[in-house]
Amino acid sequence: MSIPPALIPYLPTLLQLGVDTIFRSVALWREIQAANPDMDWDAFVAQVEAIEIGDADELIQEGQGGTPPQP
Amino acid sequence: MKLRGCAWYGLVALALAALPFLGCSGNQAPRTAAAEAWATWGTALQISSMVYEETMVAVGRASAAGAITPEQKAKLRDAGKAVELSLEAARAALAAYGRAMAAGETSPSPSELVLAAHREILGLLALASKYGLDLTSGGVS
Repeated sequence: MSIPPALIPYLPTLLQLGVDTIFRSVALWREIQAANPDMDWDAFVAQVEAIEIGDADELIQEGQGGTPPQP
Repeated sequence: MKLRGCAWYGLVALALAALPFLGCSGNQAPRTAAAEAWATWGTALQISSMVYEETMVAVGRASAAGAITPEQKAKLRDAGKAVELSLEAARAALAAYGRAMAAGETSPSPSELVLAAHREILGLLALASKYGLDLTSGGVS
């Protein structure tokens, strides 16, 4: 197997993402195991609506240590 | 023995490929259709949302460290906003699907919207990778 040359500079980042995804997936898999196998559709809707999707600007600001963005 | 770059790449790819099988082997108990949908599309959306959020926080850290230019930050912000909107659309579609199923109505699967959000995230990650963002500790790699 050979790696496309254009991909080589991105390998460290891809590896980070791969390892991170594995840990997250294992954690979620455990959650699924612990989840109620008799879940009804109302519970499904409640779970879906509980998924948090942060605002892009607020997340960037959080990464900046709470400092307001530069004008 | 020191593994070469492609060997690591192969190991990670193998581990990722094995995940669905691991999931299936631990997934023998009978489930309701709702539990099955949650385990499939709900958790997929949850993972996507977490990846998106961590990427945007990493953008902020890299920006604060001066590791990316304001122009790069703006492009990452726009890509992140697109992901945010597609994730929200997928979440709304999944919830609507659940409500329709609860009401006993037939509803098309929202899988396309969830997959579309995944594609947006891949675009964001490709951009983050292009600018050398370190997604685990901030800054650049």
